[in-house]
Amino acid sequence: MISETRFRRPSDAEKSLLKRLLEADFPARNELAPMLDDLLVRTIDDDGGLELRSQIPGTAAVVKRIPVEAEARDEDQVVIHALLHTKDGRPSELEVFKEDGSRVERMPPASKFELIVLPPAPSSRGKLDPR
Amino acid sequence: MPDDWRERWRSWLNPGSYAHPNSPAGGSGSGFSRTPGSTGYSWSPLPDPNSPAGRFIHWQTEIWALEQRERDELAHHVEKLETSLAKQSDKLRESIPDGYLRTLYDLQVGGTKGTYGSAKSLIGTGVDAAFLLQKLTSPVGWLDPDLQRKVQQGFSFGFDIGKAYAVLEFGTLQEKKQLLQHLRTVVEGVYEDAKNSVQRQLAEAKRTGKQDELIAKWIMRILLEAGTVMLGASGLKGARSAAEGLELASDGSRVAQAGKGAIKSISEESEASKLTQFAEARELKPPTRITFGHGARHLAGTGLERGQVENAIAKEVQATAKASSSTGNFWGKVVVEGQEVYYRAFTLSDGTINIGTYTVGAP
Repeated sequence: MISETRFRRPSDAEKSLLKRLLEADFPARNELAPMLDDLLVRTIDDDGGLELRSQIPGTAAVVKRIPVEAEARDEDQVVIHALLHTKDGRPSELEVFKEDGSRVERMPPASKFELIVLPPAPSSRGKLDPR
Repeated sequence: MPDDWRERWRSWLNPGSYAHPNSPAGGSGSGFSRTPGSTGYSWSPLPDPNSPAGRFIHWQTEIWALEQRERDELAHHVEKLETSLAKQSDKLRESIPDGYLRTLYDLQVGGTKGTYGSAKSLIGTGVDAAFLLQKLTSPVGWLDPDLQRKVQQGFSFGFDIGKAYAVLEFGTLQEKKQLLQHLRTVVEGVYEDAKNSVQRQLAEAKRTGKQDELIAKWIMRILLEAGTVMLGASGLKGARSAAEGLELASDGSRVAQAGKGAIKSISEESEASKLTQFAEARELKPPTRITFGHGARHLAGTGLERGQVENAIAKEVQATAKASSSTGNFWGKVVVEGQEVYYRAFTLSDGTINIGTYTVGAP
């Protein structure tokens, strides 16, 4: 597994994806935006998942752990999910996974990602999406 | 046990209740026959019935309260045994190299976990200790039957099953605690041995190129166990057609023979379809294959372990799959040790359900 031990500045592609996520309208978006603008990252898995460490202090009044997410198709047409996680009101992870659990073949450009702001999770089991 | 301090107060009319030894219902019956001085009973948490303090005590209530305290303390020890077992089982599971096999293992351990839980009811109810040991070590038997046999024959167990039965039934609190501690130590050792045995068997299978055969053998053993536990003898009748030349009867030994034959058949013919056929013949739909992404990293700091969480999710997803004609993509929630874990499931074209991610607390 490709996992980095040190934090670094995000690559252009990573920055673009984070910015893309901020194009959605969701609670605490404006507070999260500067935090995501100045941050260090660390690759934590083969899919390109990142641990996020914002350099900007403070917390955002997010109402969900995953305030925003996005999805796009990989070259093999399997859907890639990108989830922005927060912890205690601060960005903590950009999780990337494919629905079939396989590795991402080629990360689509940020513009290809469709943004999703899910309502809070219901209290029991249900359908994830109507696709 | 002869030195049980409660004996002094036990009613001769009704041994299940207690009375002052000098009362008509207490001691040795009507009249008082005990000689003064120490009775030789072990340390008693209640005052002497002839002492000034002893005259003002409601014996029944006091003894019930003390017994309740003993039960609570014992329950705590049983809980520790269960936690230890769950951890050992998780470690053994992690050593299993095949996802499908792990799913089967999860299903079966889910079924036997009730047995671990039932250890609580063993205290004072006199359930067969041999049965308990058999159940506690059955996951070991799926992967290394020789090791389980050795345990059951008592070679490495270090105590006599009959004695264990007597302790669970009649022992003092201290004796029960010691037995549970001993049981825990032994079972931990057995699971450790089993883990090493899995590694050894795998290494040997890799060397001889018989990895698939080994995994098929393990799967078959677990399916057999599932048949015995979940279906009972009647459900096994259908195995007749799949396992050629086997005679099945209602007793366990014949079932074991049937399994052995079927394993041999698979091994010789190397046909994976035989396994499915065998399972279907026994009315056992092969479980849905379940895979997990990297949700486990979201457990950091929650005190939850990957094994227990993924077992719980797998169990629920299996139940969902079993109850549905198709599953598609869905999300769900399980509660593990009081914490809610939310997961996202994606059904793939081959029927596998991939748990893309999960989080503790609402996502």
